Amino acid sequence: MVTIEPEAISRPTTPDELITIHSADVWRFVQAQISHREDAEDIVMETFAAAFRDFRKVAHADNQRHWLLAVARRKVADRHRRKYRRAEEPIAHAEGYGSTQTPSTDQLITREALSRVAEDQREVLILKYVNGLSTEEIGQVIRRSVAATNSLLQRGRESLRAALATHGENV
Amino acid sequence: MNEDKDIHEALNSLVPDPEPSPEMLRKLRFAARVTKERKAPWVGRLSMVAIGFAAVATGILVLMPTKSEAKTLDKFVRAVDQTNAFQFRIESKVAGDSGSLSIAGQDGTVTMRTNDGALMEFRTGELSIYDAEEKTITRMKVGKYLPMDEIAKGVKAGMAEGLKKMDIKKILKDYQKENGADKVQISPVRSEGTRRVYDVALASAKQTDRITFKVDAATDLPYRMEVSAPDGNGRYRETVLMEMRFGNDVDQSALRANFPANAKVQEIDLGGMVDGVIKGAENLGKMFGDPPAKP
Repeated sequence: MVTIEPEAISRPTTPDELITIHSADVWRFVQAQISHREDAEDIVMETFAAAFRDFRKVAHADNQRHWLLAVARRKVADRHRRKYRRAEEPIAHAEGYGSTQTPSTDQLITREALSRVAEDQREVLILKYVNGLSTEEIGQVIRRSVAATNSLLQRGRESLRAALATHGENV
Repeated sequence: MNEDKDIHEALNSLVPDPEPSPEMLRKLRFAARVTKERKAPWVGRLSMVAIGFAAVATGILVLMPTKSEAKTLDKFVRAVDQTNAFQFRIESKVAGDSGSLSIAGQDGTVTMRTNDGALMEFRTGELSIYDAEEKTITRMKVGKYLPMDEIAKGVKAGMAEGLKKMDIKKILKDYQKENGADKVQISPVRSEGTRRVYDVALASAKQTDRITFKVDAATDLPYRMEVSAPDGNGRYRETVLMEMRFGNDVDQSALRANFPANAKVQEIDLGGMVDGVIKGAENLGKMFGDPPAKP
């Protein structure tokens, strides 16, 4: 059976196509890690702005999805490092925006637990379980070997389960 | 996957809206329209270099004083072959976007600078590039794996050899046949300051651009080239200006890069392989703007 990569089927050749094909992927990756809507939107905007500025390079990148996720990853990490906090509503609270439900207890527990997982482990967990990347693809985004990525995934799963269990008991 | 179902569900609960909102998409599309693409640093600059060399080559073609084409060509070939210094300054103004590039070289050292602050110096065994935005000098030692001296000699010899073999009479004949002899106009010699000069104007019914060379009458070498193009309102506007100097006329200050003293320096040793990996290779990615990643 011949497998055709999605990238081979639809490879964006204009900034608009890049948005159409990859914005949801970048948005999910950022949203899973940033609870504040405005911050998440800022990061997605910054990620795509970087792509628009270097569009010639993005257009010729081996994998545009990985390129965008790698930039988004750096920008999320920068945001965490700066401990940027603004008095804005969490993403799930924002009025008139998609889901208007208040965050469930499970969501609050998960976010709190995830915040206790090491940054590199958190990133690979999101890339795998939210973005659906294979271990090899994750390795390409974070520039690690498959073995090293597997190890991060394994440790990430253990850390997250432990954190979830601890917080579940405390709630 | 079943054993990971708990993690899958927990993490996806953090993504209540799997798609970006219409408002977010609208902002992205607006940004796509207004964000100016960064000039490809080396493609843009190299294209200007190409313009420069093309201009010199074109200069040879159009320097067609009926009195002595061969003499003119010989002089230019000698200038390329014998002079140990050259300096080109190129300005480009196209569609409201302007840029300038200066290239100067002497005895195997070449310095290039652009109006946006980029600076490059190539000398025996070493290439240094200054990024004004990052305030960083990337210094690449080419070592024994890249015989740059030989490459430089080869380029110079190839250029001179190519010019020698160029059949200028045939080229001129073809040009005249295609465009008409009256499309090349050579002005009378006149004085500009202390210099005796004349103009060579090139026009073509098939090309809208106009090219004018100013030529030093003493050497028959061009020292200035101007290209202008119609602006759509019936007027011609200058799009490329190139100034050329050779030998003793070269400005000595243009030959030195003078990198800022406070710039950060990163070294890439292309000649220093350690376990099959180039020393400092991680800086190559930064230099060309790849997404940063942990090693």
